[in-house]
Amino acid sequence: MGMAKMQQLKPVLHEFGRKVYSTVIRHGADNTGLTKSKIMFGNLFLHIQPVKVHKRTLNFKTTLCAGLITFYLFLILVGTGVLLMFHYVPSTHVGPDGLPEAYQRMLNLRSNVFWGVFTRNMHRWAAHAMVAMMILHVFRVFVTGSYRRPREFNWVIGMICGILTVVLSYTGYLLPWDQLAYWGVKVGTEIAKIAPGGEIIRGILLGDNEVGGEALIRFYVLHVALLPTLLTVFIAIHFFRIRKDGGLAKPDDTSGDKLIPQSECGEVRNTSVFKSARSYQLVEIVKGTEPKVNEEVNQMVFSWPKLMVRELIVFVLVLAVLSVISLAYNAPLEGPADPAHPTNPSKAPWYFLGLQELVSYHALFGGVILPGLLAGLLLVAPYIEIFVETLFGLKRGNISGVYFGKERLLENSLFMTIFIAGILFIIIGSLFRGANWEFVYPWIPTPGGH
Amino acid sequence: MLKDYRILLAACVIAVGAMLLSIAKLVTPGYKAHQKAYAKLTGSTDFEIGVKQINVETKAGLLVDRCTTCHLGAANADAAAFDQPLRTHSEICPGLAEQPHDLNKIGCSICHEGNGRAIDETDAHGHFKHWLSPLLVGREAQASCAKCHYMGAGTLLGAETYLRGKELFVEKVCYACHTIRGLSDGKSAPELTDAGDKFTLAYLKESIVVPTANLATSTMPKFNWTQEADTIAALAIFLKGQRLNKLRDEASAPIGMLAAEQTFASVIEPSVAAGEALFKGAFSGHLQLRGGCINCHAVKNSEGLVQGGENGPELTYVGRARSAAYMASHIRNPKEDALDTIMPPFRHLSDTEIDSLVLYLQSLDYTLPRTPEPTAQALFSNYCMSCHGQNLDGNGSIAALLDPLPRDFTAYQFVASYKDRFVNSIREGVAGGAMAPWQNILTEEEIESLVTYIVSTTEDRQSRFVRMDVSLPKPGDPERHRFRDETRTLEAGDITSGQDAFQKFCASCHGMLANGKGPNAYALKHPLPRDLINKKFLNQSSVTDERLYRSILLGVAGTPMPSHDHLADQTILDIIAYLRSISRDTN
Repeated sequence: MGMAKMQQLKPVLHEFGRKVYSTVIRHGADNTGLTKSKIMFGNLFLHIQPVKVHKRTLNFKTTLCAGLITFYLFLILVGTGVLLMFHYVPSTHVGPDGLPEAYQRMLNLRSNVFWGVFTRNMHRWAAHAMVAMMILHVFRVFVTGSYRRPREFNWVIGMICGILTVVLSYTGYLLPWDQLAYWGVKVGTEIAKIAPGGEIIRGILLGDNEVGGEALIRFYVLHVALLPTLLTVFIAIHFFRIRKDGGLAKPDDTSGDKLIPQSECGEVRNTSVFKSARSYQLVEIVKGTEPKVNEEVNQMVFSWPKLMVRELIVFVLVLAVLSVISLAYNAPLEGPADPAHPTNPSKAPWYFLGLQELVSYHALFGGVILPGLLAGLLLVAPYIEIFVETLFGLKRGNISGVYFGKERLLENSLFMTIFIAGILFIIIGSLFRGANWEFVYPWIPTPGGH
Repeated sequence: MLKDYRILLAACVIAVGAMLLSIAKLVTPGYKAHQKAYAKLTGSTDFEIGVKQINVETKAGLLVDRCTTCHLGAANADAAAFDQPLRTHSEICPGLAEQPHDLNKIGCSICHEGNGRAIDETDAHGHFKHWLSPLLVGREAQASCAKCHYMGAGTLLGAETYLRGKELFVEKVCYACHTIRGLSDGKSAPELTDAGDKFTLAYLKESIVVPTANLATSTMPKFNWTQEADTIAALAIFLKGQRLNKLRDEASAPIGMLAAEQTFASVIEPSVAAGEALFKGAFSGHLQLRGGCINCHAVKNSEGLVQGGENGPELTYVGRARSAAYMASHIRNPKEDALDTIMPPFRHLSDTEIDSLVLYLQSLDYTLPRTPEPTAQALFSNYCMSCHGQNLDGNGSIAALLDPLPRDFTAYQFVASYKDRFVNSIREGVAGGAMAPWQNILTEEEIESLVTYIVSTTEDRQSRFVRMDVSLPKPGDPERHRFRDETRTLEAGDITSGQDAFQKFCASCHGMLANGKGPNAYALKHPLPRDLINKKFLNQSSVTDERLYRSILLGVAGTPMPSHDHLADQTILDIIAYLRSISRDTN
């Protein structure tokens, strides 16, 4: 009896299911240009991407995925960060075991909070990775000249994102309230003292003359509320402008590029009555820098599914690599912060070690003037280029999108010199400096106490 | 396109796998096995597997203790035969019919430290880097008694090692340099009132045995009792027990202690016996004497048996060499005689105690047996070697502690130039340094024999060196006119120009303050530049202006002091005047 009833009910359930499905996904999946377009702009998240992209966009080499990975790491950081927030307390109140509350919470994460170790590891390593990938992204954009017209302002937005990233990472560095955190932040804020007006900024940041309980709560609020919100806004602007500026920068002639064959990018069925017409290409006839119509039309492909799948691959890979690292390496946790016992050497987080190395030569010049000058120059790099081109009446046209382009030899040489010098200073500062900031070889172990 | 999906799948598998692995570690806790074993051993049928927790109320908040998750039988008297971690805790206060500590109430980590919140063994026992309080095992837990019990003086059952450490702190003379509030007030080394909160037990042990292991600049001596494991352990446990953050204060301590402050024995009537007891840091009755000289200084008894440490000069002969007043003032404030000495001042000693120590030192009567007549070499080995070294090179075992450094007799130029002074230096000593007058200990023949021996070691080379003979110019002497101006004679030295000349020509080694610590002094080894504000040295009768003049003009033979024959006589006279002005004895 049951079987017959079931047979009767089956089409009804099927019909019901189809109706529910169509309330969520309104288009079919028949792989025509129209549905591919609908998939993209019918979905809030996918609509960040254009319906069609240039095939170059799909190549790893074009972007090194640096910007995308930076963004994914930000997502992971928000996720793990929210999990950590459920447990963390930004307090220096000393408990019965003589440990400050914030540090106790770190111990709890390690000792008895479910998934605490893994979450903290993920958050820690993703934070470091995000700064590193951000730097790589800056490198890629500069050496390909991608900040040139019309993307000058987006470079500035990107730089602001970069600065926010570093400040986010730095504010988070203090929160474990262990020796590493305390002295790392102490060193950083001491460097700030050297700058003109640095005392005031330092005072506002710390809420005290020294790094203490007030600094912890301020860093915490900056880290979990203000800065992530700001960064989200600036990332949104950054992404929006990428689209408004016509996607990724590319040279005028891409006919010689080795691109993915059309067959790799998924099938596009043509259900139109006008068999010869290509549904999307009509829409592509628009002026200006919008998704454009030119001889490259044939190099444009639908974002769905190729771009989407590749972006998903990158995300899952980032997650996988980060998970494996988090399984293998625990985030450091030293003794509780002790203002009376400086670690020797006291080192700032790695991205500030180049700065600390410079400070060890000359406080004002190495710690403020030189890095300030470089950061300032980098921030307005596209405008310097415009100024020089205007000054000398240079008309260089579109020379973006190529690594180390011949026309940009001067810019790239200058940038690479500073970039490599910066990396070298960071390496020296992090690996070749021991107690009393004396030169050591990292492969020769130094006798140490406890 | 298919390839992309495959890569996506593989990446998904890795990511999900890694995350599952991270969760898998959490759902199979290590304590399960212990709990099952315990349930089986006790025959309990309704044992509930899970985290056990003791909440300890303290005035600073709730202390969470999960140790009993594994150490299930700690408070169960029937578990005495079980294997660890399930065994019963041994008696904390041995011999008491009723144990005063209720383990179900106070938990484990209060005494044994570690990380009470953890449920993983490595984590709970605190065996990870940078952890300040790794597990205190067995008697080490006595370091925690003082967290609740106010340990002023008196005894506490079960804290024997801790209390022995406290005795050792005085016996091994630690008190003289280190402050522990309520016990000592030494100012020559870091305060240890909060040592237990700052350092691990291992760190404390290591720092006692090798003081420079954790602080390269430490001047703490290496004691010769550091091989005794029990001594080190007791001392370290006592120091680990020194904390400012206590769980209970004096008023609420569980057992009221006897006295507020540690009291020490005192000497009422000066005597040799009291002096010896003080010297050895022994007990007088049930109270301890605050002495302990023997940790650094050695003495020989009448039979010649050596006893004591090697961190200071041997004191067998000092009672005969130095005056009672000198000894008393040196014990009270050694920096008066030797500015850089590592010996701390013993100001807490009363007059009677100092007198007793002096009496004891004066009672020491050992001399090298005179029958049969000892060889010069034997005399040197017995009396001189600990400072001047086996090879007469001035690098004896305690040479580094002395200022100025003992004379190096292998420098034949020095011996050739100054051998006439040797007899006098031994007989009368050299003021302002560690060289004592030996006339009350050595016979004239012995002194002669020693000098002959010292001179003979470099005899073959001495003829190579000839020192010029120059005399101190007198102001107004018509023969010694001024440089390049034959019409003017020399004038008496001028202090101000002397100071200028000193800063110009001498300060690089002797320092701007003339204390022998100029920048170049650090490159010199032996001997070091003379400390020229050492009043005792400069005001002794043998240090004449003539000697200073010759030392400046010709240099000091066999030492790094070079000749200064480029200086005009007037300049040297000025420098001498300056030196006399800064070392003038105001008394």
